[in-house]
This record gives sequence, structure tokens and C-alpha cells, in this order.
Amino acid sequence: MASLFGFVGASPTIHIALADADTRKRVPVTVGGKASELYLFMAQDDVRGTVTVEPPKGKSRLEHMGIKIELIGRIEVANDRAGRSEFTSLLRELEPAGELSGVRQLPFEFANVEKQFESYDGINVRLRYVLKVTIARQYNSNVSAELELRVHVLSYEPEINSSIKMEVGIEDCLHIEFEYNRAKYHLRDVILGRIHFLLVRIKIKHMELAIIKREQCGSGGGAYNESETVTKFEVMDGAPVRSESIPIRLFLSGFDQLTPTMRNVNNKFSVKYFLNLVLIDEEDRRYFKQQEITLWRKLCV
Amino acid sequence: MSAGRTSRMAAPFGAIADEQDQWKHDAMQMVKQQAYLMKRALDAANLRDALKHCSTMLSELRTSLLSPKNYYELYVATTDELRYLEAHFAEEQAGSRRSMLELYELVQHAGNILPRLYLLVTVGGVYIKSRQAPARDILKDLVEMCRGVQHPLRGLFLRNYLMQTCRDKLPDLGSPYVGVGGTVDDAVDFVLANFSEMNKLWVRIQHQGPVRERDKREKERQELRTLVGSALVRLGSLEGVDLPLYREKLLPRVLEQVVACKDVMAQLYLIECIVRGFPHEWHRETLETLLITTTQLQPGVDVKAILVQLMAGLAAHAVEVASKQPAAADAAAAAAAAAADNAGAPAATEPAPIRAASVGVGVLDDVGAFHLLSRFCAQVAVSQNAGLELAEALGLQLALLDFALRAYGARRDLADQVFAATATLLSRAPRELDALSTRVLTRVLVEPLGTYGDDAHALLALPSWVGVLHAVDFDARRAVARDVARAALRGNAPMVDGAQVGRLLDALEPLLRGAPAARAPLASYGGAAGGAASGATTTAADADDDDDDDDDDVQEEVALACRLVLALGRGARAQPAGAAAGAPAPPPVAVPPSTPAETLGLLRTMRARLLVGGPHRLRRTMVPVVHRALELARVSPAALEFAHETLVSVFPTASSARAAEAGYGLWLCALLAADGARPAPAAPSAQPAPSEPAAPEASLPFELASGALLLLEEEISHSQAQAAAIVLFIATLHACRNFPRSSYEALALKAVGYSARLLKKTDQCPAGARPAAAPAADTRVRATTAATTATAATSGDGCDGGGVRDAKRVRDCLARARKAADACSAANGQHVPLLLELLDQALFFLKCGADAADEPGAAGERAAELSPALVAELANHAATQLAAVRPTADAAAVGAMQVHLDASLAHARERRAALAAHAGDGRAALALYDELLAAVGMPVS
Amino acid sequence: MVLVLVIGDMHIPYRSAELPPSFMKLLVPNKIQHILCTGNLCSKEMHDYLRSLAADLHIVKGDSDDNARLPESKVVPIGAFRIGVTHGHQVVPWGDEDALAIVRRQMDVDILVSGHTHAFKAHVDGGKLFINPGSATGAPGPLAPTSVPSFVLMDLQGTTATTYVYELVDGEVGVKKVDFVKQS
Repeated sequence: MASLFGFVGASPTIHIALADADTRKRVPVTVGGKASELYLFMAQDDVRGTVTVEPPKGKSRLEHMGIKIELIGRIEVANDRAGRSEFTSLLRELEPAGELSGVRQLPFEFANVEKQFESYDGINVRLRYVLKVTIARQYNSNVSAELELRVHVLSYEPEINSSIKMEVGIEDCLHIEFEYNRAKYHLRDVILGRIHFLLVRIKIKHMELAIIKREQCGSGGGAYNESETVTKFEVMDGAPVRSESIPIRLFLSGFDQLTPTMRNVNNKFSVKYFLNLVLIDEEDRRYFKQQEITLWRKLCV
Repeated sequence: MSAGRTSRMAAPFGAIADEQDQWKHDAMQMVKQQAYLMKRALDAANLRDALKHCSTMLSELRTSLLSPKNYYELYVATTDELRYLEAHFAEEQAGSRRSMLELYELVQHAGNILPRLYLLVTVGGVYIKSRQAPARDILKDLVEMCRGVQHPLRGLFLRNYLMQTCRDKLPDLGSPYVGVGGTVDDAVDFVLANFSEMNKLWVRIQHQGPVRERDKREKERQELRTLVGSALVRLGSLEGVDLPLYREKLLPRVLEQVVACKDVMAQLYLIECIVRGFPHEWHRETLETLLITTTQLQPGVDVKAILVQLMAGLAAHAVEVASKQPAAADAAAAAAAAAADNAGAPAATEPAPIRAASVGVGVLDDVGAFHLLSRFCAQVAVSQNAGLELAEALGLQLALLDFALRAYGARRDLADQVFAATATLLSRAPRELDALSTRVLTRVLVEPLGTYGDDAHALLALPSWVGVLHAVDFDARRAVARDVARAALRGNAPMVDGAQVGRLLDALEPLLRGAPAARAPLASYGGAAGGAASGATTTAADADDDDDDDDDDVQEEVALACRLVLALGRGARAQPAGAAAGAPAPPPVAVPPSTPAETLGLLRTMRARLLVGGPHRLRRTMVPVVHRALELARVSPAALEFAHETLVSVFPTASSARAAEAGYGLWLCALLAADGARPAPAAPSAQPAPSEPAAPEASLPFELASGALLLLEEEISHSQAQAAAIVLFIATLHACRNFPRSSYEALALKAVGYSARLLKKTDQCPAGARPAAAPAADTRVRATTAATTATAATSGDGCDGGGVRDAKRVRDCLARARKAADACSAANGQHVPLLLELLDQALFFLKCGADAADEPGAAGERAAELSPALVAELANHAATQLAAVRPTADAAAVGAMQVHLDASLAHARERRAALAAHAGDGRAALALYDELLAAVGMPVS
Repeated sequence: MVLVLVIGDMHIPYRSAELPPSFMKLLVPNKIQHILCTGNLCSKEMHDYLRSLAADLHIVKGDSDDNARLPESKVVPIGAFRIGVTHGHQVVPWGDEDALAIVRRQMDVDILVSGHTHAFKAHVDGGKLFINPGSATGAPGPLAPTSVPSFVLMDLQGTTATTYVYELVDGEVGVKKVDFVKQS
């Protein structure tokens, strides 16, 4: 990725190449309608590579005040000018001030760096990791280049993962018992469940299961929520009778938008997921019950 | 598009036809279009798009607008397209580029449940075939996931699709999916589960939509029932299902479902499906379970229909088993024993030893099934009495009887038990049975005949039968009698045993007697059942009309009665063993026919029964009685007496012209028979009254002849009939061979006298046509009388020298006849045919004379009395008369007369030629002819 | 070829219960063109049965028939033949050749069919054919208490009448043939 910064002013060229670029997995990301592919890192992965610096075209030498590379983790909140905050920033000096002659390859390494949060592109919030190379110059403005990284935070199987089971109803009208096999699902998991109809006195037309994502930003008075329906999944057609029981099976792998549940990330935001069971009657009245579920990213073997 | 659809979902169920067509058309278009896109995507190996189009196509099935019939069509069109997808997957799978599990998961991402499940089922089928996972697991998953569709119509069709897709992929015995893929139990579980769900959905249809359209919905539901039934049928067709599995698992679960659904239509239909869908043999083994279930059904369920069907099935099974059991009774017995062991239920199957003897006819040895059914039939009749009409209860008895007959043919006691039970049922019924009950009872009464090989005696030997017979009204008894009579005749029932025949005739009483109310003065006949003569005359008046146009029933009854008379005394030939499969024929022993004396006894009994039958029956039924008696008369003089007695009692007079003619004929037949039966030397002492050899006038033949003449005089009034009757009398007399001369003379004279008197009577008749007819008849009669006397005289049999007088009478008769013929001359040539006829008779006498001419003794002289000259004169007279009428009479008629005359003369010439060729010239007989031919102008050159 | 069934004196059901089944098997519809019946069928059932065999049915009155509508005798022209039918109880003496010859002359026929005697007979007299088909049921006759069941099939071709008589003797149906050519 070449930065074309200072095109006219005959800027030096900076190129950041990851050492394992050939083998490292890349993930597609769409931000603001633009699709791109980013290198994927797990939280513990070392980040190493080489920065290639080339003097501006037509020149064989480059004078500089020092070349450095930073690994920055930051959270961007929309509608909040001051919302850009860095939660991590690591610096490596690549070259002390001096003069470079010709093309110069500068290796770098961030080893054993904990990337504690997962990358996230939300409605109002983004959490990004960036590698930033800066060439400080005495007379000209600094020249820099960035390479965005994608970070996934993997978790181990939760130790406690009980099922969700609950009886709900409207008196003398509808009485159901639902059951989801777990409270916590990894992102490629499948939700298995079952709805028992204990009492049905309304004419149900159909029933669906929705996954709702709720993004929460800020705190106190400035906090705001943003909800999004990830999917609506019809699980029943027609009206059941008493004692009928309807199976639910929903494969999460189909939904790319899903992320792990995030709670109070750096005191800035949270992302939560809910299962919403909705019954629609013949007059299009909706009866629903939401249950929070926790999503997590499973350590792939 | 489909979104727009769903917004119209609330449209009324009963849409008008045009709208239906439009909706269906739109949906079909959509299916076609999406199917096309799907196929194109598949060809381009674009699975994602293919699935998308397929989903869109399947979304058309989400509609609630279509009537079941239209929905069905849409379903067929859509699932046809799915077959393409399935084939594609199967093909692709063979190249194994993709794991089936992935595909199975992939199709589950569809957001709408109905398309999702159709896809899942389609892929599931391929998955099973790939054998990448046990069939059992996939089947279980599919049947479970389909629960998501609770809409009755859509769910029913979805599950039908499931059934159709998986029907050949079950881990059934002999299929590739058994073993690792699962067991027969799994297959059964799958089908059962799917069936149960289908049934629930189907039952639920009735609750859909507005109440006012309930009837229409129920009708539609009826049409959909086969979807449910086919699931049950599939169970029945599983190879791996055997009796133990059926008994222990399958049946209880199906029945549980049947009882639980609490729906009248479903319960009746499903039980019927069970009865039809599984082997009858199993029903026999699980009879009690099945029967107990019937008591747990909804009140409106027609349990009777179920029982009837069940019993019919069991009976058919029994017959089938019997037909498969050849002579190897041992093998059958062993198999039956093995089956009993297998069943492991010694309580149900009585430990009675299997009787090999009954195998082949009896079929079932274990009567447990019968008793069980019998008990249930009784129970149903009583317990549901509010709902079960008498006719229905009787229908049940009919079915039970049918079962008993076909399954336990040899056990007649069981059939009798049914009759006893029926009688009990009737004892609680109102006195007057309704028409339907009567009809059913009529069938019950004759039902065993078929099984008993038309052995009417076997039927009547059932002790409880008569009790049931007397419960029905006269018309029904009459119908039964008809059937019994037909069977007795068809089955060639032996008719030798007095008690048997008596019982038979008791049962046939309505047939022999006819309707009681029809004619009032029956008492005289009814009382005279013993065969007495008294009082018969009183009925003569009321039947003078043509009583003959009785309805066909009476005609048939009379015919049956007549045939029974003919059958009396008949024995039975030995039945070849095993000739009639399944139909227990009469015992394979020959029954010898009865002796004449016994037969006469039977005939006497029969006559007594017939005598109550009223005049219009009697005149026909007595005919065979008399004939049978006359037949017996050859060996038994008592029979002749019996015949005489019958004639005296029945035909001293007649109720109608036809009766008179019939009776007259009988008298004459009796006369012939009496003449033929030469009085046995020992007989007179036994029969003191009739045959007194000293007084010929008192002899039986003479009495019979007199009886005939009396009847003729009294009852035959039509002139033509009279003429015919006299001719017949003369002919009969002529046929007699053993008459004493004196009796013969007397009777001949009597005949002539009668004819004169009778014909004179008709002369006085004022009707215009009669005067012409009377002389014609007179001519003929006189000519015939003459002929009779002459031939009797010339035949030489039993005559003793009275020849001259006879010849003289011939001449007299001819002369008088000619006079009578001439008297008709006024009527435009009508006398000529008479004269020609007379000429023929004269020629006949001449021939008789010629035959006797060369015999020695008085006979020759006798013949000569009828001289050729006389004959020639007659011929010439006829020719003259013919010539006289020629100018005025009809040309064709004249032609015919001329031909006749020529033929007659030609005949004379031929006779002469024959005589000459036979015996040579110079005989006296030839001289007679020569003289005649010369006299008529045709001399022999 | 024209097939003419000559049959009579069944006396059903008065003297005989039914037509022998072996005869019924022979007599099937659509084979026979004409039926000449000498009478004494006695039952409507028999009448219907004959009618089912051929539409052209001619019946005369026997002494035991009570159907007054039946004629005493009838002349039926078939092909080159004039055939006369009469029952024969009026012919005295019964079955006598000369007496029958008289009847034939009166009717002016080539073939005279008569019954009553319950005994099959076919003879030629004076160049004319006389046929008595006997009793189809073997019913007791006026002159004999038993008789052999028989009927006659005539095959008329041109001036040739071939007569086949079917007789049931000891349970077996036997056939005899009599040829007759009409003299011109």
C-alpha cells in the first residue's frame, strides 16, 4: 500500500509490508460502502514486517529527522468530534535522524503485544487498529503512511453456558414456554430451540425469531443506543394448537454482520445481541419476547 | 410479489371461481418463471442464485388464497420442479464436490419457513441417498423440522411431499438404508410420526375459517383424506413390518392417534384404512385390540360400517386361506400351530386341538374371532341403540353371518348362533318392521344358501332359522321362499326324506299359497288341505276372467312349485371331494331316490300344500302333480288312483276357460295312462272301488274318459275350443290300446253325441260368423270321428267282429259331414276346402281298407264297405264344386284348392304305385285303387 | 346357408324342469336365423329364451299351451322351401304318416314339421319331407312315459335341406344327419 502523500512536493515513498503477508488471512471489510480486504490478526499475534522507504523521485538521498512506526488502537465515535480516542499506541524507532541514500528496507516488530479489543465497524462506532509510519522532516511536513489491521479476539468455550428457558404469556390468551439451548453462542454456532404452546387462544398467523444487535455509545446524558435487526427468521407458519411444540434451528454462520458481544469497551461503547421471538396474529398484532444472548468468537483449531 | 400476496392473505376462504382461476394462474406463472431461472442458474453452477429462485418459487406455496383443489395443482407443479433440483443435487453429489452436510445447512438459511422446509426435504432426500449420514437421523430431523408448518393445508402438503420424497429411502428390510442407516423400527417411527402429524393437521382443517362455510370445508376435507390415508398405506407396505411389530408397536400407536384425534370423519376413515391397509390375518390376531378401540370412538362414528368391513375382510381372508390349502392339511395345521406359538397368546387362541378335518371347508379353526365379533356386534347394537337403527343392527348381523359362513363354513352351529342372536334382537324390536329392516332380514335369511352350495335342507336345519323367518311379513317370507326354492332346485337338493321335504314345504308356504288377501273365498281351499274335493266349485265364479296375467312373480312362483313337484323323490349323486372350493357342498354321500311308494307319499304331501294355492295357481300347479302321479302309475296302481282323485277334486269344473282346457288335457292324459297301466292281477283286492272288471262302465279308464267329457260339456264353451277338444278326445281314444270293445263303443258314441249337441248349441248362436264356422267344425269332427272308428275297427286290436257296423258308421259320418259341408256352399266356395278335407279322410279310409283287404276273413269285407266308388264320387263332387266357384271366388284361393285336389289324387296314385311295387299286381288292394282312379278319370294305363 | 332350429314339446315346468344344459350350450344367439317351434313350451321363460336365439320365431299351439294367441298351424316360407308347422295332437292317429300326409296336402308345403309324439322322426313321403323334432326336454309324452331329449337343426341351401338331429343319450349329445332335396 503506497501512500501518495506529498505527490507534488516530491515526497518519499513509504511501503509497509507484513512479513507474513503471503500466508496471513485477509478478511473483507466494508466501511462506508467501500469494500476492501484487511489482514487479520488475533489478539496475541506478533506484528512484524518491513517498511520500505524510497527517496522522492529524481533524488537519491533523503534527509530526515527520524523514521518511526506506531501500532495504534483507537475508537472513533460518530457525531462526536472529540470522540476519537486511542486506547493503545506503541512506538518503534526505525531509524535515527540522518540521511538515507537509495531505497532502504527497515524491519519492524511488535512482539507480544496484547490487542485487547476486537476490530469493530458499527453504526456510530468504529474500533480500528492501524500501523502508522512517520518520516519526520526538518523543513517539510512529516510524511506518514498507514496500514489498517483487523483484529479478532478469540475466546475459549465459556465455562458456564446454561440454556435459556422461560415461560411467558398473556393471561387467558397465550401461554408459551421457550427454550434456547444456550445463552452464549460463538459466531458460527447454531441456535437450537423449541417453543411449547401451553395455551393458544389467539389466531396466530406466523412466528419468527429475530436477532437484534444493540450498539450503545457514550455514557450518562450523552449516551445513545442504536438497534439493528440482523435477521428475521420465520420459524412457524400457521396457528399451532395447545401442546404443540415447534423446533427452532438458526445457523449464525449465515450472518456476516455478527460480532462478538462487547461490553463497555474502553468505557466507550457496548455491542449486545438479543433473540426476539415474535408471534404475529391474524390482525397483524405482534407479541414478542427478547432475550439477550452473548456472542463470542471461537478459537479455531 | 409474494409480499403483495401475503397482504391479501385475509381474503375470504370462499372466493368466487374467477378469482381462484386468476390466482392460480398467477401463481403458476410465477412458478414457471422462477423454475426457469433456477435451472439456468444451476446450469451455470450458481448455486446461490439457484436456491434463491427456488425459494421464490416455493414462496408461491405460502398462499392462503387457493382452494384445496387449486392448491394441490400448484403443489404438483412446484414439486415437479423440485424433482429437477433433487436430480441435480444427486448428480452433483455423485461427483462429491460438496459435503452433503454443508448443503443441508446451506438451505436452512432461507428466511421463510415453507420454502426452507421444502428445500430441506429435497436436500434431505439426496443426503440419505448419499449415505453420508444414517438415514435414520435425517428422517428424524426432517419429520421434526416440519412441525414448523402448522397451517393445516400447507402442512399437510408439505408432509405429503416429505412422505413422497422419502418413501423409497426408508431403512426398510431389503433397502440399502437399513443397517448403519437404521432399522425397520426407525422406518416405522418415521412414517408413524409423519402420519400422526398429518392427521392432526387434517383434522384441524374443520376449524379454519368462518363457521358458515363449515359444510364446504368438510367436503374439501373429505377430498384431502387420501393424503393421510396414503401415509398409513405406506406403513402397511413396509417389508420389514411383521405381525409382532404391528401388534406391539404400530397398531397401538396408530389407534392411539385415532382415538386421540376425536374426529368422526378421521376416526372412521382411519380405521377403514387400517382394515384395508394391513393383512386380514393380522386383524385376526389383533381383533380384540381393534374392537376395543371401536368402543372408544366418537359417538357419531359408524362403528357398524367398520365392523362390517372388518368381518368382510376376515371372511375374504378365510376363503383365501382355504383356497390355498390343498390336500396338505397337515402342513396347514402345522402352520396354524406355529402362528399360534408365535403369537404367544394362548389366552386368545383357545388351546383346542386343530382339527385337520375341517381344514378345506371350515377354514378357521379358532372360533375365538367369531365369538369376539359376535359379542361386539351385540354390544354395538345395544350400546349405541340411540344411534343404531334396527336395520343397521340387522346389517351387522348380516355381516357377522357372512363372516361365520365364509370363515367357519363347516361350523353350522355358529351360523345358527347368529340367527339366534338376530331373533333376540328382533324380540326387542317393534312388531311391525320397517321396510329396510325387512329387506336386510330377507338377505340374512337366505345368506347361508350360497355357502351351503344351495343346500336348502342345510339352511332349514338351523334350529333358529324359523324364528327369524316368522319375524318378517308375508311378502318377505315369500321372497325368502322364492330364494330357498330356487336354491333347492339349483342345488339339486335330494327330495326323499319326508321330514326334510316337510320342513322345506313349511318354509315355502307363502310361495305355494300366494298372497292371502287377494281372493276372498279361500277358506274352502285352505280347509281342504288334505286333498278333499269339497267346495272347490265355489271359487269357479270369481276367476272367470283371464286370470293369467298375473305378475311375473306369481308366474315364477308357480314355475318353482311345478319344478319342486318334478323334483320329488329325487336323490343325490355323490359329490366329488373338493369339487367346490370354499363352498361346503352337501355331504359326499349319494342319496338314493325314493321308491315309488315313498314318492307318492311325498307327492301327497306336496298336493296338500298346493291345494291352498287358489284356483289360478292350482290349474297350473296340479298339472305336474298329475303327471308325476301318472308316471308313477306304471308301477304303482295307487298312483293312478291318486291322479284320479286329484282330478276329481280339482278339475270337476274349472275356474276359467284355460283351467278347463288344462284340466281336460289332464283327464285325457290320465285316461291314456290308465289304458297303458294294465290292471295288475293282485290290485283289485287292494283297490276295491274303482276297478270292477265285470262292469266296464265302472272301470277307471271309463271314469276318466267320462270325467273329461263332463268337463268338456260343462266348461268348454268356445266352439273352436270345443271342436279342438273333441278332436283331442278322439285322438286320445284312438291311442288307447287296452279298452274293452264295449267301453270303446260307448265312448265313441258319446263323443259323436257330444259333438252333435255341442255344435248344435253353437248353431243357435246369433253371431254372424258362427254359422259358417260351425259346419266347418262339424265336418271336421265328423270326419275325424269316422276316422277314429274306422281305424280302430281296422287296426284289429281288441275288436271282435263288429266290423261291418263300424264301416257303416264311417259311411254315415262321411255322408253327414258332406251334407254339412254342402250346407256352406252359399258362403262363396267355403265348402270346397271342407269337401277336399273330407276327400282326404275318405282316401285315408280307403288306404286303411286297402291295408286290410288282403287279409283273410271278415276284415276284407269290412273294408269293402267303403267302396272306391264312394270315394271317387266325393272326389268328383269336390271337383265339380271347385269348378262351380271358380268364376266368382278369389283366384289365389281357387288355385290353392286346385293344388290340394291334385295333390290328393296324386297321393292316391302314389299309394297305388307303392303298393304295386311292394306287393306286385293282382291284389285286392290294388283293385280298390284302380277302381278309384278310373272313376276320377285317371285310369292306370 | 340358412340355419333353422326345429324344436318343441318342452313342457316346462309341467313335465320337465329345464332344457338340458348341454343343449343350452349348443344353442347360442346369432347362429340361428329361424326357429320353428312345434309348441308345448308351456312357459314364458322358454318363449323368451327362444326369442333370444333368433328374432324370427314361429310357434304353434300345443295341446298343453294355454296361450290362445298361438295359431294351430303356420306356413313359413324360407328360401326355396315352404315349411308347415303344426303341433300334431290334432292329427289322428298321432304321428301317422298318412294322416300327416293329409295335413301336408292341406297346407301345401315342402316340409311338414310336427311334434306331439316326443320321438324324433324324419321321413320322406311322396317327395316331401316330414320332421318331428321330438321333445327338447325329453318330457313324458302321450304315448310313452319317457323320451329321449332331442331337437333338429335344418341347414337350408338352395333346394337342399340337410337335417341334423341332436339327441341326448346317457348324458352325451349325439348328432345324426338326414339329407333331403326338394323335387321341382
